[in-house]
Amino acid sequence: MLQIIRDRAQGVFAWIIVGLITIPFALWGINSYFGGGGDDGVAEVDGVKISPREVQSAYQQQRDRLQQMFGGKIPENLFSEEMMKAQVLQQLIEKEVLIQAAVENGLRIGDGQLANIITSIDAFAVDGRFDAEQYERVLARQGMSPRLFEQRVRRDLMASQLTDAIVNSEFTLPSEVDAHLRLQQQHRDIGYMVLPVSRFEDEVTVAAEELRAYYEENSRRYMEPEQVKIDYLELKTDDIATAMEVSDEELRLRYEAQKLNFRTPEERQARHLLIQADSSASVEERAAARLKAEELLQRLNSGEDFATLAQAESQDPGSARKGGDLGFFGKGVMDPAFEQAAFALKKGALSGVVESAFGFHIIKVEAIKGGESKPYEQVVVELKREIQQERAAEIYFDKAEQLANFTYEQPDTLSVAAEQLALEIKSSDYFSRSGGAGISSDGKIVTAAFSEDVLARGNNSAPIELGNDHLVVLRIKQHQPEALRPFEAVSAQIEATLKREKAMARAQETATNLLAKLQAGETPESLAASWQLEWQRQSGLQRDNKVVTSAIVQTAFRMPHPAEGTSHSELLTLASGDQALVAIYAVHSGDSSAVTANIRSDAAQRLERAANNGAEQALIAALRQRAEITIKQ
Amino acid sequence: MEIYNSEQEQVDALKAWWDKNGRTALTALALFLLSVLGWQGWNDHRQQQAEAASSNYQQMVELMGRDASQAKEAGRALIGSYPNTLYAAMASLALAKLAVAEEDLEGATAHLRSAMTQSDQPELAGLARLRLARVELAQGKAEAALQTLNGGKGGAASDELRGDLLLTQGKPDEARAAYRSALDGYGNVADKRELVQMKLDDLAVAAMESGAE
Repeated sequence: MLQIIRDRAQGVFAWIIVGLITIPFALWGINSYFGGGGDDGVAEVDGVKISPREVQSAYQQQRDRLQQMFGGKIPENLFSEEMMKAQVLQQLIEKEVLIQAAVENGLRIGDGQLANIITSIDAFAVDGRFDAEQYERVLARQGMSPRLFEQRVRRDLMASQLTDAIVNSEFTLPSEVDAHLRLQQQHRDIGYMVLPVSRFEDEVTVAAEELRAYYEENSRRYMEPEQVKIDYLELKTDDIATAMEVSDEELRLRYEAQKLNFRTPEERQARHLLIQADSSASVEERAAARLKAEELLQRLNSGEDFATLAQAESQDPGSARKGGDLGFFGKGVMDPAFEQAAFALKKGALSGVVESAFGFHIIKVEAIKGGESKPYEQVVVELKREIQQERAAEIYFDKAEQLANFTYEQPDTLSVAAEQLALEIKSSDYFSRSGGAGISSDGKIVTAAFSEDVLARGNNSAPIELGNDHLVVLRIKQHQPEALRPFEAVSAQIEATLKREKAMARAQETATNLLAKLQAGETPESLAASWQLEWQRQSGLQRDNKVVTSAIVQTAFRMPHPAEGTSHSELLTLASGDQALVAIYAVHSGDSSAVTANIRSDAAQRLERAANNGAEQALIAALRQRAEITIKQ
Repeated sequence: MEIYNSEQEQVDALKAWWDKNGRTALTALALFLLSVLGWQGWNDHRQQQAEAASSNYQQMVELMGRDASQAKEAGRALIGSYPNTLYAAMASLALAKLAVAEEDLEGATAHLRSAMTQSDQPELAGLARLRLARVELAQGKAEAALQTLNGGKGGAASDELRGDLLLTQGKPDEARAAYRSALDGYGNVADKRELVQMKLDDLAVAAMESGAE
C-alpha cells in the first residue's frame, strides 16, 4: 500500500497535493498547530486549562507574601498547603473568567500600552532606566520567555481594564453621603446597669454527685490527647563542620591565597595648598595661578613650613585655617587627579604642582593607615570556619544519602545509622498533634511523628528537611494513646464550671425579673439601688464610643426607635457572664452638615469602596455562573 | 478512480481535466484565498481599532485625576471614534462620574443611559442602570428610579437601593425586606454587608412592649 503511494506520489499529482497542503501553513502559520496542549490542567474554564504549574507558581508567590507578613515562618496549621492551593486555584479561575469576558467584549491591549507597562517595572531597570538585557535576564531566571511573559501581562492588563472600569467610574452623590452620615453619626440616649455574675457565686453550691454526673456526661472534654515521645537523628552541616579537622598548613595556604581579601581600605592624611583656577578661569588666569603655585613649591622646597605657608597662601579656606590639613580620606572621595597624586606619594613627601578641577595644588602626605592585610592570627578562626563549612557541605549530601539508606533499610531502628554515621540518638519529651517544645515545635516533625507509617507501623520516618542543611529522621520512642483524665484531677475544674453555670442562671433569672419590673414602669434608679448598683445614663451615645462596654453599645444601636416619651429595654449577657439591662430613650439623627470635610470625604470613600467591592464580586459571580468550570480533584 | 498505466496517460488525463475545469478551479481557489485574506484583514483592522480605543481609554482615565475638562474631551472623542464598543460604554461611565463631580446630575443620567445601550456586557450595563437609578433618586425622582431598577436584572446592590427608595417613600416594612435580601445577596462582601446591616438595624421593631421613661 505504502509502496503504491510512494510510486504514484512522484508525478505532477504529488506537487499539486504538496501545493495544496502548503496553503494553510502559509496563511495561518505552523504555530497554531503546536500551540496549547502540553500538560494536563487541574481546572478548565470554558475550555481553557489552568495548568498545575500556574497553580504552583501562584501558590509560591502567595507563600512568599505570607512569609514576609509573618516574618519568615508561616503558621502551618493556619495555612496548609492544600487549603492555600485551593484558594489560589479559585483566584486563577476568577482571573480566567475575567480575561475571557474582557476578550469576548472586545477589550485589547496594544503593543505600545504593553511596552509602557513593562518598561516601567523596576525589576527590569538598570540605573533607573529599562534595560532590555536585564529584562531577558530576569525573565530567564524565572524560567520564562519574553513572549510568554508579555502574553501574561497583556492578559492581566485586559482583565484589570475590565474591573478598573468599575472602580474608576464609581461615584457617591452628596445626598448619599448625607444619608450615610445621618445613620453613621446617629446618637442615642440610653441607660444601663450591669449585674455582675460574681454576686451569685457564693450563693450556689454543687453537690458531689453533680460533679460525678457532669464528669461522666462530658468525658470528651477531659480527654488527654494522644501523645508521643520520639527518638531522632539529626544531620546538620554545622555539626559536621565543627568536627572537621583543618591542618595549619591548609590554613596557611588559604591565607596566602586570600590575603588580598583581608585588606582594610587604605586611607591617607594629607595637607594641601590650593591656588584656585576653576573651569571658568581664562588661559591667562590659569597660567598666573600655575606660576603662583610653582613659586610656593619653590619656597617649600627651600625649607619653609607647609602648615604656615598653607595658612597664609592657600585659597581653600576650609583647610587653610588648619594649615592645609584635610584629615584622613579614602579613595573615591577627592578629585581624581588629586587622589592619584596623593596616593602615589610616600609618607612625608611633597608633590609637584598638581592640576585638578579646582586649580593647582601642592600636596604633602602626613600619614598612611590601612591598606595592609590583616595578620594571619586575626583571621585564622574565620578561615578555619570557612574551610570547615566548605568540606561539610561536600560530605553533607553524601551523609544525607547514607542516612536515608540506613534508616530505610533498617526501618525498626536508628542505631545502625547512628553508629555508621557517628550521630547521637536524641529524644524528645511528650508532645501531641498540636506540637510541643524544642524539635516538636516544628509542624513537619509533628506531621511525620503522627503519620501512619511511623505511628501505626513503627517505622523510621523518611528524612525530613528542616532547612537547606538540616535533616532529621525520627521514630516513635513512646506512645501514649488518648486517655480520660482521672476524676480527681479534674473535679476542681468541674466544680468551677458548674458553679459558674449555676451563678449565671441565677443572675439571668434575677435580671429577667428586673427587666419585667422596668417594663412595668418602675424607675430604673430605684431598681438599681435595690441591688446596690447605679443606673448609668448616657446621652448622645455614638457608635464609636469606647467608654461603654462595646456589647452594650452594639445592642443600643440594634434596638428599635422608641416612640416619643417612651423607652424600650432589653437584657443582654456579656462575655464575662454578667447581665446587662439596657434601655433606650431617644434616637437623634447625625447632623451631616456639622461634620468636618475629612469625615465627609472618609464617608464618601467608604461608600465607594464598598460599592466597588460589591460590583466587582457581582461581576465575577455572574461570569463564573455563565462559564463552564470544571475542577479536577 | 481510473487506473493510469503510464506517466503520459496521467498527464494527458490531467490536461483534459484542466481544459474542462481549469478556469472554474482557478476562480474557486482565487475566491477562497481572497475571502481568507479578507477575513484576516478585517480581523486585523478590528484588532487595531480595539487597541487604539483601549489606549485612548487609558489616556482618559489618566486625565481624570489631573484635568477633568481634558478628560471629558478625550471621553467624547473616544465615543465618537469607536461607538458601540465596550470602551465607549466604559468612557460613558467615566463621563458620568465627571458630571456628578460637577453636580450636573442631568448630564450624568444622559451618560449612564448611553452606557446602558453601548455595553453588550450585561454586568457593566446593569451597573450603569443601577447608577442611573441612584442619580434619579438623588434628583428626587423616586418613581423614575424605581422604574429604572425594575427594568434591570436585580441583584444585591439593586435590592439595597430599592430599600433606600422605599424608605424615602415611607414604606419601612418593604424597605426592611429589600435590605434583608440585599444582605443575603452580598454574600461575603464584608464592607457592603456592614453598611446594609446598619440600615437594617435602624429599622428594628419592638419585640416587647415599651415602658414609660
